[in-house]
Amino acid sequence: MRVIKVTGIFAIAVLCAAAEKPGLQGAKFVSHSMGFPNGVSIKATVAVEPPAPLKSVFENMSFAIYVNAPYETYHRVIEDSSRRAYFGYDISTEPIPNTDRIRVTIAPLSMTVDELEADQGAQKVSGFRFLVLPRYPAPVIVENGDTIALDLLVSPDGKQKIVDYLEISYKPATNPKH
Amino acid sequence: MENRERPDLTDPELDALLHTWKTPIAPPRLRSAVFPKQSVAWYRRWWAASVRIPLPVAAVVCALLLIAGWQWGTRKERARAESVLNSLASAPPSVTFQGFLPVAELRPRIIRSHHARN
Repeated sequence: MRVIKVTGIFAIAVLCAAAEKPGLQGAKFVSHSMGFPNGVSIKATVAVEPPAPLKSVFENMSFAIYVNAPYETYHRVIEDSSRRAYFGYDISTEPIPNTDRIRVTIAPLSMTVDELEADQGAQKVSGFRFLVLPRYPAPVIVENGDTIALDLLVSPDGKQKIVDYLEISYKPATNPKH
Repeated sequence: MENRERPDLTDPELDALLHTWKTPIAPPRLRSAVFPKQSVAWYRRWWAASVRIPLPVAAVVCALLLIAGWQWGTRKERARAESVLNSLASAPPSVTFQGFLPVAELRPRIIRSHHARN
């Protein structure tokens, strides 16, 4: 079985704690960052739009990031332990040579329940239902510093949504000639 | 057997004689006999019309028509399959996450760095 390293987990406990802090209600929450060996970094931020009481929104929900060697593809997993279901996406990056642009690929989540369970330890996810999103986007090209906004969840009336903000930055390897 | 006396004519004499021979006038009904003036409807003429084409050309045209028909059928079948898949794909997952529905499609919106909100 592959060895998967959990680089961060955005659990409800963290959210609830953050929600209690003044000034953070309805704000964005920086969950974690992803570092790619090619020099690209992504800071992932989850936000509820428009702002809502976070406890009611995120109760039983968790937003996690997993990665496996050689750390070229990160797995974004959104779980609902009460519904015993999860979905997500894979994300990888590729700097375009001689430019300040990065090709970002968002692909179907490739983590199985077994892999999730192997990483979550005490938290049992066996029997979780894997929701496959019908469509995934084509690779997008962004510039250094751009942000990709991804709507993940939407309320049935369409008035509220949970958005993943992915801030892309690129620091190329130091070249002695420059 | 009849034994006709015939003067012997040389070729030049025969040629000269041929030039002096006058053909009889064609009878008036000869043209109509050769080229009948039947009033044939245009569609009958069109129906009876034919085009002669070389056999290889005909074979190639038939082959192209068969291929086009096969392609059309395949494409139609593929389009039908795609429409079924799309109708399935457009249905978002029915499980809710704390009352929220997972989106049917991840649509990245790019916020340029000079437009980013603080």
